[in-house]
Amino acid sequence: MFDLLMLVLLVACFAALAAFVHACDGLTGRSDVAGGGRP
Amino acid sequence: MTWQGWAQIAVFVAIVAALVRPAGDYVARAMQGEWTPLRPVLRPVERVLYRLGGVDERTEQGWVSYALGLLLFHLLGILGLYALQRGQAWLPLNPQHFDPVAPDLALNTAVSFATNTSWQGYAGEQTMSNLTQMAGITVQSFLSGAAGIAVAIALVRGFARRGSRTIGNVWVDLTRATLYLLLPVCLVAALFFVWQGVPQTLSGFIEATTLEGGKQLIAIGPVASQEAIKLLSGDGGGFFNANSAHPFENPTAFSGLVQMFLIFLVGVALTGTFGRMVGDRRQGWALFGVMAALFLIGLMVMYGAESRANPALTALGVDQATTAMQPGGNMEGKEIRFGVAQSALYGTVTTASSDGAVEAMFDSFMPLGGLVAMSNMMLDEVVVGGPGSGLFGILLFAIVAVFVAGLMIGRTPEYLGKKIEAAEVKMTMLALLAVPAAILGLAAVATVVPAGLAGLGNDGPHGFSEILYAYTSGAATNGSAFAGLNANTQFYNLTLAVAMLVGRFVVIVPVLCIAGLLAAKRRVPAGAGTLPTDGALFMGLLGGTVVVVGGLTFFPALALGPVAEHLALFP
Repeated sequence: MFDLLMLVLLVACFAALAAFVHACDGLTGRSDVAGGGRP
Repeated sequence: MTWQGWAQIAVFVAIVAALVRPAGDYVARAMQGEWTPLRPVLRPVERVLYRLGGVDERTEQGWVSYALGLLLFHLLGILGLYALQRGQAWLPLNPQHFDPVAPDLALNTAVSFATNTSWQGYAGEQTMSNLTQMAGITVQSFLSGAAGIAVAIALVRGFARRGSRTIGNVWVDLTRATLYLLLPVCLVAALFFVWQGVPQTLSGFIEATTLEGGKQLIAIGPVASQEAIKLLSGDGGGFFNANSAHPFENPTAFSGLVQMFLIFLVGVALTGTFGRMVGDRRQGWALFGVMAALFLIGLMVMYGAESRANPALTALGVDQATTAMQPGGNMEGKEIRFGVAQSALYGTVTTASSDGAVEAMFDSFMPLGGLVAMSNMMLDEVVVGGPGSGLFGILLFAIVAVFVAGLMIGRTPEYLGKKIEAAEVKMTMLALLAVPAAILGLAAVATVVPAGLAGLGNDGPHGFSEILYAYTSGAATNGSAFAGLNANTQFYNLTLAVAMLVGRFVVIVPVLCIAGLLAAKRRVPAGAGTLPTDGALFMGLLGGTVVVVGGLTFFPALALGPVAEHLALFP
């Protein structure tokens, strides 16, 4: 049971971090709209 | 202080300075896929790894996909290390028959090593099986170090490129950092440590007969291999609880000196890498100069503090004078093998970097010695720092420095020909405020709730220092412990895990964002109003920014801990 709680906490933290990535992108004017490619 | 102590420090600093250019060039060449002496051997391995992982090394990523890839990589790493700890009782290579690690401690440890912190709420030789140490902790030490290098290189590309929508390929950067940098150096370093007397075996312990005829079990294991990456990656997590104060981790003063080189190697090399990749070596030397100045100031304060006699011990009649038979000064918590000078040097090196390995007990340092250790970490790992984290940390302060300079003369700030605008400054402040917020916020909570106070070994200013140090070490991804605080409780395991996640990823994400923003910009030619960033004026401004920002943020907390304790000892 405690393992499940740890797992949920961890995934929630990383979900928040992924949302933070998109929030930063939005805050700075969507610099990464183009995605990937060759340099 | 002794002349031998200063000579040791001078030799160390001279060799580190001599490493900047050759090591920096090697890192730049390896990370950019250029020829190196190891490339003929390792390139086929690299190709196989890409094929197995389905990675097209010629395809690069924008900063968002780079950051999300890095987060996914770390999430999987944390889950893997957590599972290893929880399942070690049923897995092989557990000659000690250790039970599963408790869930909260397993989470704390997994986060700790994946974030390059290596905070250890456990005694390694009494908790972790050989498999957990080798396949879990050691592997994460490699990967978290490689991740820091990758982020730093991505940021340097941001400065070096013009009009680019990409900052590199995270999988390629992680692979090259591990394969070309960390693995070869660790192989040589592990052999060196074995030569010095560090064990490297799959046995769990040996049985010794004591002088009184009793039996004693002495823990051993695959120590040398973990020792090498513990130092090189800036991880610092020891095989044994006593870390590098244990004779099986650090048998001689010579091995201690080499350990310090390994701790600083990647951090100083990256300043050379920076200069080479942006096409102006003086820019890299300017950053190294600021790091070196801050390091030497901290070292002098710590060495001076530890060379003084402790008045509390003087009152008990303890002889603390420097003689031919003893180093003098505060020897409590220090190894006779290392003395005051190397203990102070090691203490400054390990907290200035993000390593956190220790060969003396910080809890026994004089208050000003402890203050230097904390301050080094509170300055956001910019005094050399960890692999990658030191470089991107000081570049964040460089952005603040040029921004402040721009405000003073009323011009748009520039750094290396890139205009620093609102978006970059927002991201920089976000990264620089994340660590203090985590340290001060969580330390404040721990000093008032019963669960936080329950772990304390001391009261008064020293007790407060123990709590402040723990969260500083966690959020600054250092991992060293002040000791005296029982942090293996659910409260500390979980709150320190939060501090480590914030201190690592809430810094890295804005750094990658800045890399993406800068890479997309064109370079503007230097004009009459451009602040030269390779001279003494900028170095002074940058060093001042680091000290003032760090000092203003943390001085009130430090005044309640080590400063108050110092004034109580020396009224």
